[in-house]
Amino acid sequence: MGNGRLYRTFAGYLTGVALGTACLTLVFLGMRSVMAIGGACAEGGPYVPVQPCPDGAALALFAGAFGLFGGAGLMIWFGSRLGGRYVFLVFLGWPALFISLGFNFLQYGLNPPPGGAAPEWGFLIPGVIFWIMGFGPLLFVAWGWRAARSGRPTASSAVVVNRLRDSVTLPANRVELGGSSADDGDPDLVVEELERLSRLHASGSLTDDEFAAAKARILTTERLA
Amino acid sequence: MTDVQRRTLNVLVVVAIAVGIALGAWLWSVIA
Repeated sequence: MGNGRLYRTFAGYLTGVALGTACLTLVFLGMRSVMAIGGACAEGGPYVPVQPCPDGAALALFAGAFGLFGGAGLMIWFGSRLGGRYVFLVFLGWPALFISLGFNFLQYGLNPPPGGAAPEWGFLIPGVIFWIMGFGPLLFVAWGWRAARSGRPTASSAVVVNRLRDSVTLPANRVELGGSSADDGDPDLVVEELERLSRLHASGSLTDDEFAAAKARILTTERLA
Repeated sequence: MTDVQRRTLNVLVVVAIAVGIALGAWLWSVIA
């Protein structure tokens, strides 16, 4: 890709990262404002308990939630042209969302707003569930990433990480995470990958078939890039 | 993408995250 197009792709991708982060921050702060008044707000109608919402909370939560999808879309659209490792960053949005919102639940669960008694289990339980939903996939991905980078792309966690990455990556940029440094078709990196594969093959970590398949894949990717 | 471009992009991703947090906090201060 030419430098002009590459820099436009950079700009689009970075806009997606900044937009996604800004929306996540808005959702985080909007949620805190509602937590500070007891965790719920509603007004209007004869049977609705009146607890006016903090200024801007509804806008921040709605715009932030929809904007997150916009940021993720930009990251996938432009990131898929840059290579798998960049588009993969979008998956970290899930743990970022659940860990940050879970933090709000846990903080207000341990230190409830005026009128509540600590510990507030109605906040603590969702907080723990949110952290499990956030930290669980994060640890699994970190484990899979490590397995793939250390030359074990067949480990089950590494297979899941590679599949996730491939699901949002253009075919020309697809390559096993274990050989991801060759994913832009740089001849030097391709040679490095081939040498690394040879070492793995020589040490017995890869069978003849696995070696042939991985080698073919790196060379195919190099031709496509 | 050259190695220098890749390293520059990695730094810019971190900068974009920081800018996003600052932008979100500023937007919140405006609408809240």
